[in-house]
Amino acid sequence: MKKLFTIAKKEYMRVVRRKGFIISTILSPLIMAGFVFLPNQLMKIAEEKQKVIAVVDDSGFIFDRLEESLDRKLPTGERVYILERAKREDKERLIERIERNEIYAFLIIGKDILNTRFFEIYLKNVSDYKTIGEIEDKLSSAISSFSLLSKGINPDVVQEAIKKVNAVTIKVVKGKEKKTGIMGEFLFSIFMVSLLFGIILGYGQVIMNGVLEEKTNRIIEIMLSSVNSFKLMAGKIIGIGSAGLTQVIIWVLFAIFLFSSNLNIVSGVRPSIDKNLLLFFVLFFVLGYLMYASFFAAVGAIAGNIQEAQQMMTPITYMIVIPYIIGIGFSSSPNSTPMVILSIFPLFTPILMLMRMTYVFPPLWQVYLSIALLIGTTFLIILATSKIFRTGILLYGKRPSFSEILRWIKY
Amino acid sequence: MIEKAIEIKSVTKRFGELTAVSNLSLSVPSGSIYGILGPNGAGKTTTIRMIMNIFAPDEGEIEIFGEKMGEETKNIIGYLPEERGLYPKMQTLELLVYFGELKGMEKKEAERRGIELLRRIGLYDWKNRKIEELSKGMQQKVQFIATIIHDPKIVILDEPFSGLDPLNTEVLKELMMELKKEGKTILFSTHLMEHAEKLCDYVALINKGKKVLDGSLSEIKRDFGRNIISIEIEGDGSPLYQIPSIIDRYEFGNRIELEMKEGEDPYELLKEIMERVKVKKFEISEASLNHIFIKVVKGS
Repeated sequence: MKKLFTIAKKEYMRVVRRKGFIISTILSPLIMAGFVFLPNQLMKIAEEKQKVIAVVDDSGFIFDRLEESLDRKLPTGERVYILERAKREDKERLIERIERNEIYAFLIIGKDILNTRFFEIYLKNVSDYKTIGEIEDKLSSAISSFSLLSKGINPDVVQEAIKKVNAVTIKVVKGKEKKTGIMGEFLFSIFMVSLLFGIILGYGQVIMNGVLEEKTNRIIEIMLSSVNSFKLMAGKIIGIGSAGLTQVIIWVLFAIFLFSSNLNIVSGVRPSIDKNLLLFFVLFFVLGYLMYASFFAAVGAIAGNIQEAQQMMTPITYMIVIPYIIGIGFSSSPNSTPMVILSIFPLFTPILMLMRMTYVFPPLWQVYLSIALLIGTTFLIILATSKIFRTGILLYGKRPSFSEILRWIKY
Repeated sequence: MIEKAIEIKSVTKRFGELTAVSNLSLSVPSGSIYGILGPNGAGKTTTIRMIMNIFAPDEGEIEIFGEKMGEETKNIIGYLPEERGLYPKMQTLELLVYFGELKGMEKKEAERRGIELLRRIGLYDWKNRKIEELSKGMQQKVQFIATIIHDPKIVILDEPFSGLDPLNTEVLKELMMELKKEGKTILFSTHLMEHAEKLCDYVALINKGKKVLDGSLSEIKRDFGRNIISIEIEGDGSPLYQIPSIIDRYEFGNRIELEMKEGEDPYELLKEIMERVKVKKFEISEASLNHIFIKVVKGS
């Protein structure tokens, strides 16, 4: 056991001391935070200018209404949009003024806008959807209200009549209603499943490359002259897994902070995090990691070089990607028969069962059955892969056939 | 009776169709230098890997100081594999300590011993450098230190001289003699008989997975030593082949070993040889291991 610990410790330090690890550990949360904070911040910065907009109004009724409704204010209390009248003949000059940044944009509103329902807007930055959208909106309502009025209908009545209906989502958990923070909890769960998915794939490859490196550097024989192959493989998987766990813990702590902080930064909701789910997450993380990591270790032992390893890795990658895709596809029917069967299938359980849990908590017997099957399968897989590992690791040259690998398991 | 450091009892190892080692028995006396000799592919590395318990024999048993070999016996053996390898990104001392710990040493003890050995071999100043920054010769020295860091009772070296320059070959031979003086048992394999001649107390010759001959080197030589004449000549040696009193000959470059008929006078033979070729050197000698090996393999 002491030797296993020595190997695990060394592998842990090897991963943790890498620049890539340190950078991704620190950078990912920053990027995560960036996605949440940055757009808002950027908007704020971008909006801080007043915009002068010239309007050629051939209809005669638009300008005043538009000026009245485009009344959004800057934080300083000034209007964002300053409208000025212009004439169609001045088009050339208006274009020049845009070029000189004297005006931000100009509109040409035709005489017949009531029927044609289009107007022209000239500006430099055509991707400024915000401004264009705002003008479009206000112009639409100006025209609608004008149109209604002209037919003798009070626009306020219509306004009242067409008000949008909003859904307030209440999740039912164990026969109780749960009103607060559903969206945040759902986002957090999806975040954790994605994390599990990413960590298994990423660290699985770290293990594979580590084994391959020892094989190609011929260190493996020295290692095997001190410890047996099972301890070597287990030490690696545990050490590298602990490094992955370290990273996850840092990220999850950060995410909890981000999602539950009083800043109301994520979609304006304040979530609560389900402790049970967190517990299952840890369990599935450990078991799923152990299972897939042993596959990756075996691939590293069989492959002769990195290209071969990447090739052989593909089926394992599918085993991880497929449940993820199924999980997303079945999000609206998480308790349907195919979903139940697939989530109990041990190779899919870690990801699929966890995803089901985030949708609607499945019946407990299904959860426990899947965990029992997963533990049994993980155990068998570790047993088989350690045998493949033992034989493959010392084999150089020709890549073994599938039937040969099967023979190693029996041996 | 001399204590046996390693006892291999009727061991067989197959890889699929191929029988790499067949019913092999060897016994390595404690405190000796023991050479396993044989051509490439004879089964030397397989035998050594079984002693290290890297793989288990299909049949037979191996004992280390009377105990069945297993995970525990690994700690009293130091092993230098034929394919050498170190972690290129690790620091020299860090790596030595790691290998020491894997042999069951305490960290502090491994550190102390690592520093001591690095000092002795003149690499102390490199202790905090990464392995990849060391020259190839330095790496070979570090590899050797890694082999003996845990002060093993038995040192096993698989083809230790391959890839060494003549200078480092001498350094290694001296180190092996030193280890012997310290009472260690040294087992090494080589396909170059010349190395074994000078170092070994005992040898085993193996070919195609089978033992051809084993025992004390001096006894083996005594058994084969009679009737051997070693000469060096200039030019073509074929005229010698007609001399009736020569029953066998072995050519090693311009040196030729001749085996005479029983009871022949070597000086009479010399006269006959000098009539046919130009002799630079003439010696009544023991048979070389090369000679013995070829003769035994042919005979069996």
